[in-house]
Amino acid sequence: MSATTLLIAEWRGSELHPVTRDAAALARRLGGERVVAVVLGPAPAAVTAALAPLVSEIRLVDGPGLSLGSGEAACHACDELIRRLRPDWVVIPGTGYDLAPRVAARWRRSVIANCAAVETGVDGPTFIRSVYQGRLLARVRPVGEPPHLVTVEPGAGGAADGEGLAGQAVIEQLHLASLPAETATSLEEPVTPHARSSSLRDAGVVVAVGRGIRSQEGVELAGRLAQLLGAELAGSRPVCDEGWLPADRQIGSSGVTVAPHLYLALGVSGAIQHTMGMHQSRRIVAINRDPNAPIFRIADIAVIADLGEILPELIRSLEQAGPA
Amino acid sequence: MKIAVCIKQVLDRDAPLLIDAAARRVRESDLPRAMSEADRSALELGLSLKEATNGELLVVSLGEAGAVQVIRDALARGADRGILLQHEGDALEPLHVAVALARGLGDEACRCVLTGVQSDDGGHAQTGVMLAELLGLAHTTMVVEAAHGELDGLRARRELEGGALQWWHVPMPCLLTVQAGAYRLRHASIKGVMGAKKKPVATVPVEEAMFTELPRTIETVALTTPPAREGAERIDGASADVVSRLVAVLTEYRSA
Repeated sequence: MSATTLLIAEWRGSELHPVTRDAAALARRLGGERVVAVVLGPAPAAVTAALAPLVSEIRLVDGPGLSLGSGEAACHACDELIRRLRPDWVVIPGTGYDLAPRVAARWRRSVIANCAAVETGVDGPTFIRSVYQGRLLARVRPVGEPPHLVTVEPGAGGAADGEGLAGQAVIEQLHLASLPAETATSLEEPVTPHARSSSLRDAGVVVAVGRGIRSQEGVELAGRLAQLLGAELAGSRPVCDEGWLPADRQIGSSGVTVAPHLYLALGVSGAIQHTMGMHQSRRIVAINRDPNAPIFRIADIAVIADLGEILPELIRSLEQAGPA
Repeated sequence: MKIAVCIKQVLDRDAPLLIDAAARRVRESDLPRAMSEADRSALELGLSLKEATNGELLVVSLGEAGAVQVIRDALARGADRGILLQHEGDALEPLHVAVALARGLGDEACRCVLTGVQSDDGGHAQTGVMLAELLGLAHTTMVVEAAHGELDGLRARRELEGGALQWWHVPMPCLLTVQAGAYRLRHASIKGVMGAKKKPVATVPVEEAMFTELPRTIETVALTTPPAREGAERIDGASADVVSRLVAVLTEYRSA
């Protein structure tokens, strides 16, 4: 039986959002030769061109409200497309957390949310997603009638572009006149991201502190260690929220992205929001007392230890070894 | 104005994660619990909106009998009353949680409903938005700041990936999902703790019968510990050994 998969493409400005590639790869792995990508609103040609090798069909959807970037119009459009195409799967990039749950509630379904991977087997696909802030992985399956809704974590990927496809996608225009033109919520002003610390972005060595550093005093010790290593000091979101480090020192999806040759993570659990900003570091050394900490999934060196015990000793040893 | 905050009791972040023999559930009994982090943030926003509008703040939690603790905790910090939607046994899927919450809040006619963006345990990041759909409310997600605005609405700031920010006007009645860490939850005063004991908490059982028309749509078939990276070096043991190995590693990598 041939399955149909609906993929809601995410785009920003003039480009296809990278997470759409991950979502497209996952959609293709679901086994359907028919992956229909939906582009909502007036996307530039570059978006369609980037999408064409990734899917089998594209629907360029316009209608009242979509050009305003309205969530309500997007939700109505998805609802309508599910009605028309009767897909087995609806795959949505996991960026805004807005669309998928609203559509799912209309169809009286839960979303298999933030999937990192899919395994296909005789019983159908099983989705892998992080739970308990990444400390455990859950294998989740859909139950009952389609459509099944899945959102995809940025970086999930898992299949090469175009793999399993016949060729270039067939493109169709689709006008949905029934979409609501009025929107309840309205965007007042977009704010450009504040300039982030460039010394951090270009650093060769980064010492990053997470919740496990426990106190301002702990952060100061980490600062001393950074000094000894000739490193920039940075932190995860909870540390910056606490005010232990300024906001421009935050690494992760809502902060700075770095790729130093050495990343030393002190008490950083390794939630996806953090690792998105540092996973391309050349060497990752992580110290955490929790052996389940998800940071260990990407670390080259996993140090299971209590920072309170080893940090002062580490500093002492490096001080004795002399300056960098 | 009347505000509701949905809060969830979860396993404390520092508690060990013990997976049961069937690899389906994490053991929670006898282990420390806490209010899910993003819900703490939502609760503080709720308290500040209550103060700004001289309103009423209702807290709702779906969970086992022991979840009344997070409700009492919220009452001690300034909420006015609580509803415990009591459900024993395996965790419900997100749609069922949203349906139960919608029933619990259906007659309350709240102007504003707040939830965390996602929970510390299941992390499905969808219950709040589903609740908005079921109650017919406008919604905005990933809110880091909000205040009463013009035209009987809220002005809400969203933080998106890459540090991009947006200000939205959200007409009431509405639902906002609030980011962890956006608001730091105030402490309870002694007076608050004493006063909380007199505040009303209604317990409403959540029966399976509520979901007979709503068959299950997802199931967790296994929980596992993430594998360490292949080829990674693991260092543990006595502090002195750990430190000497670390010094060697850091000295080598720093210059590499």
